Amino acid sequence: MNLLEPLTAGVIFFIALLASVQIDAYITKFSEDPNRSQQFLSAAHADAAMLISQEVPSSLSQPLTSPFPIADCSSAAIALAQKINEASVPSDVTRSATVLGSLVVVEVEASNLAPRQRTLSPAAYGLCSS
Amino acid sequence: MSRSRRRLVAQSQLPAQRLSRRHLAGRPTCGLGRRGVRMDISGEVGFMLPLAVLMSLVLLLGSLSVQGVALQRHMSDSISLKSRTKEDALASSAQVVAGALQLSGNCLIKKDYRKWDDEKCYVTKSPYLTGSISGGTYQVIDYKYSQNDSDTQSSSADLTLSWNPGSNSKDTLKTFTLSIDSSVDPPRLLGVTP
Repeated sequence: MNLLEPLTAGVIFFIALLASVQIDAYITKFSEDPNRSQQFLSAAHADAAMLISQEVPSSLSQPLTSPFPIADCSSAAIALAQKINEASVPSDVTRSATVLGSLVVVEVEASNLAPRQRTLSPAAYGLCSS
Repeated sequence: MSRSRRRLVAQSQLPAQRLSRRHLAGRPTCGLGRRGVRMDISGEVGFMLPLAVLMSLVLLLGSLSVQGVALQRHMSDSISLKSRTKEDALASSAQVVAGALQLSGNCLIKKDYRKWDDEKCYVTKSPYLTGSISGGTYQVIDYKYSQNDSDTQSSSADLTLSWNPGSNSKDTLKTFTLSIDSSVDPPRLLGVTP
């Protein structure tokens, strides 16, 4: 009876320790998954590329630094798409800006992620008037 | 009592005391000595099992809480990846609506989007108040114009849009701020910020 109690206590604690170590090992493996880290790095780069694309029309709306505003919005969209394509992007991200009528469609693609798409309007930044 | 008698009594008690000590150590069934032995043993064993259970619970709860935090972080990361689609759709919708507002300039300074319905303000027409983008539909929910500074004629407007991806999904609302230069006629839109 006297020996049974510490033995039971030891067995209970050993099982709990084993379970705890296994849970910790799972968390460590889960946290250090290289694919997951790569995915979030790509997502951050895609965000950066999209933000850079959005900054381009904002910077062009300053009258001193650009030929804008252009009267025709379709011409303004072509010029804006060109400026966006010239802007730098992170190395693991591809970005393309295409003209759709008087709008510019920016598509950003990063590895292991679904492509993202945003529409920009030159008129929304005062880059054209008709 | 004489000295020789006292020695005799002492000699006769000695084996009985020895027997008693041996008896207490081997089979603790009665007496003070037995009670002392039982208290020591029960005290030592009695706290080991609860302590082991307590320490096991602390270990397991600690590990489970760390795992919970890790899983919650993973869930929030996944949600943030999914929410980017909604953000992109709403930002695109805001661009389309804001572009239309710029082109029919007198809409920009109207206080309420319900008062946009006039000939010069064609934002009321499709696809501006409602339209489809990124596989879902957007809708203008509200527009509030405010004059920020009467001297510099700088003003802004809050444009609230909703986007629904379809298939019985919930609407996502987002408000964008439009910067307006109202010193020129027609007023000029300077930018859209989320």
